[in-house]
Amino acid sequence: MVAGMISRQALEDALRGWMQSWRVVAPVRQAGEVRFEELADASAVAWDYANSKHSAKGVYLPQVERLLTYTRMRDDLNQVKAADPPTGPTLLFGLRPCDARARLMVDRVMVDGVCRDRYYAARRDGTVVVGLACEHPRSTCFCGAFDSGPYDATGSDLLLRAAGDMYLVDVITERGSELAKGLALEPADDERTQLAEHAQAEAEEALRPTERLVGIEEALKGLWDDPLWPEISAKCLACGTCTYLCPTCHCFAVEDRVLGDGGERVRAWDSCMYAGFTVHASGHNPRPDQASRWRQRVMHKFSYLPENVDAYGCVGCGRCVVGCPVNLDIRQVLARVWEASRVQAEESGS
Amino acid sequence: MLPDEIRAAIGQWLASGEVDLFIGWEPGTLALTATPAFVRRAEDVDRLIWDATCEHNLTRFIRPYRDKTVGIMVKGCDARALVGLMQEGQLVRERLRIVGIGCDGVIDPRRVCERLGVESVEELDDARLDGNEIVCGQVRIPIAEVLFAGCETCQQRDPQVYDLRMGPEHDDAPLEDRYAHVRAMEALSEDERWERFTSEISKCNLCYACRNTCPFCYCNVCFAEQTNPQWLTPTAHDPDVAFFQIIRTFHLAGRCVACGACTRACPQGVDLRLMLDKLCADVADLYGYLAGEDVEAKPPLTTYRQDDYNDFVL
Amino acid sequence: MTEAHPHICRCAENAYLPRSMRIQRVITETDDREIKSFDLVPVDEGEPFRFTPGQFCELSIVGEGEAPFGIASAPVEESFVRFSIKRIGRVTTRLHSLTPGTVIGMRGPLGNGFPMGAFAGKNLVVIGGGFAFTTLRSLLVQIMQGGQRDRFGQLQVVYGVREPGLFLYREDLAAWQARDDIQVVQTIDVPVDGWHGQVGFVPQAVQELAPSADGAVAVICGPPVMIRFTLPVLLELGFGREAIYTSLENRMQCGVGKCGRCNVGAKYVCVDGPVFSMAELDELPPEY
Repeated sequence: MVAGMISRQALEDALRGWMQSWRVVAPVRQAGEVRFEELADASAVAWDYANSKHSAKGVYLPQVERLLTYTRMRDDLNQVKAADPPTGPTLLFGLRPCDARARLMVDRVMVDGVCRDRYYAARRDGTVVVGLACEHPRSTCFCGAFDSGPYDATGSDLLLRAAGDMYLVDVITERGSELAKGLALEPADDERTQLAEHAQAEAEEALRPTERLVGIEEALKGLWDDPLWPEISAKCLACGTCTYLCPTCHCFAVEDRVLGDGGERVRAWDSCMYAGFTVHASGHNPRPDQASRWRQRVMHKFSYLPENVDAYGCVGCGRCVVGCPVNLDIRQVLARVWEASRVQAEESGS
Repeated sequence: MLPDEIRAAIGQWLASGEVDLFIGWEPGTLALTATPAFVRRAEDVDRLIWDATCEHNLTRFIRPYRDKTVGIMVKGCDARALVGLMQEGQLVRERLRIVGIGCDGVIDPRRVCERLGVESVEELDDARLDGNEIVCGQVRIPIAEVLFAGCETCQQRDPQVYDLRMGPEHDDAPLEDRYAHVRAMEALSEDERWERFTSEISKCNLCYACRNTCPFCYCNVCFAEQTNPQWLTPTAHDPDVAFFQIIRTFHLAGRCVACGACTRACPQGVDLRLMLDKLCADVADLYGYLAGEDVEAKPPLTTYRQDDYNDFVL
Repeated sequence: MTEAHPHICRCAENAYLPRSMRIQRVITETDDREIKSFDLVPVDEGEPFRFTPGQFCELSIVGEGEAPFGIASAPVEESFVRFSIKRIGRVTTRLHSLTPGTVIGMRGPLGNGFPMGAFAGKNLVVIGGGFAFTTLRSLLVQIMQGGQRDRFGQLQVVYGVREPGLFLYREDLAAWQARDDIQVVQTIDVPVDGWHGQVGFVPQAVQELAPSADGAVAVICGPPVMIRFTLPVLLELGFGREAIYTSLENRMQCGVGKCGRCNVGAKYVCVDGPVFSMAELDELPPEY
């Protein structure tokens, strides 16, 4: 529902207002790249960015998060105090539709299920998202493969759509509606509305066509022993860059840090790409090679997560494609999956 | 450009079974990007390329196939990695078929992006190589102006071990300023050096891309991943990062062939080359030794000479 | 598993915060001293610790970390919670150095436990190998001492270890040997002077025992190689795959299905397991 239109200047003014009582996180240019950082200056927002190199994941799942602090005492090895998760609202501004959808998927793992992760939930519950529709998808974007697109409003509370010199403001949720009350909105005119619609059509057109990925979990079913896994993983360096840049990857390690007479137990991003991820104290490793680890990566994202939380562990943002030092392109891997499943279907005559 | 006769020879190696596998490069899915290629069938040699985007040191990929006969393409620096691995008993010359390439350097995509005013290489849809230039729309940039920094002062552009050779011959006279960046660092005060060192490694997140891309980091269990004793946690704590970087650098003393693969692989842009070249310079100064030149040579850290530098002995 | 087992996520506000437990007693179980049992009691009055046999906890030592252990005591043994720990890595080595009176942390109960409701009315064949007897003790003690022996049918136990000094819970085993409402076969791998009991690997021992599959359920815990060779014996005896249960081990950290580490296929060993029937495992990829 279009609430109105607003100029960039008025949005920057609104940001200044919000910065008084919210932690505002927005894309800014820093050290030669675009990053999601806490905003210190509303005029520093990178309005025309493509997408950030690192995802905004650190906002809802920090790379290192303190779970508890402890003091070490001779006879008491459990002098612990739970760390307080941050309270106070966060406004996540300028998030692309792919990243907004990614956050929803991680929500389902961390908040739903047998356990509600109180640290994650506290951050999540206090966060509002103002999304920014994507006018210029890059050659590495493949959100369309998930029946989504550069103007998908899923996961945003408000969605901004560029319309010439103005932005149209779409209210998506009640939280967004509340937030919009503080905006100096004008009624959206026909000219701007058409500009926005035109920009959307162009953006959707510009998306490089890729094979649809919805339903790929069926293709994966018979492929456990397929030779595609050792073949596609041969050049993988196991550096984990893909998992670090990915907005949906959320696997973490729980580790104790010793600091003087005490310390902290933290959770930190970890990666299924590392050999040590699943190694037992005995030395046994259920995933002893990169082939089995790549199979886990693909199965987790495209089979297990759909089964468990009804969402894919990928939104087509393309960061892993850009970041991989050996150009191991997940789109090629998924194309191999489809191909292998077709070959299998042919061979079994079904 | 991969000469036809080399391509045909590689095809012949595969067809005859002389090699079980050939490791080279093929075009990547991003502009100005190549990707490692593992070719097993003669008909697939058409996938292989050679140009200034072929930046990976492929020798680390031989590791799982050491009991097979493997063909491989190596630039001058990569060839020295093969020599080093043979010195250390990791590879056997008879089980290698080497295509050695006289190399004029590989490009640094970050520098290309800077020149073209874009943030990242995936915005360069129509950039491509044309002869010794990069072409992007109307803009032409000489490759020589956007090389990886290490390539600019390279003294080892010609492979000294190969079965087949391609690419230009060079006259690699010793360059006085090969270690200019190291000398500049050495000239700083202790505090300035500490500041430089800590600010570089603060970018590191312990992804181990540098280690994983290095041909000489082949330990079955890296110290960084030992659990008993556990030296590091995966939380990229500053002391852990410093520990990893320092130890890895020292483990490479006298072994690193300055191929630069680690520095190019680093997703965070840490200047690993600075630290490793410092060790290379020290080994050259103290022991007159350059890694990877001679397979018969004894590495300095495993030999003793009466006149070895021993000022550190108290 | 449709039974609602007690679980930390239903009884604690913060599933990552370990509860303080004092070591009341340390028992060296094996002659090589590599396995010790620790009986823990809560430091605070708090909620009584409720669990189902088969569940596990993460034991925590600040500064070292956590490690998962099956609960070796039974719910009926209300005055302590027992964990049997093999010294194998960083946390376990530190644990082994601790003495009674020391306080450590405990997070649990975690996991799904044995389906006691499904076992009721059935004959039970309990098979254990080596160190894996821990949660089987919990199961057996609960049946034998929980005042519910008559809820279950015949009880047959096969427990195999490499040599006599490696049996855990020798007092319990001796007590059960003396009873006539449970049959316990203890076997060792190769003959040893002074051992007058059975000799032979577990699969052979099960074959010789030849328990009837009629109205029976088998629970088998042990090293993968033992399970691999005992399973065909059970199938041969007529046990259906849905009537054979095992407990999986995997590297774990959060214990509550979030950190993404312990999955076998789409199932998490820490939440959907560690107890699985063979029929359930058949649906999962062989990655454990």
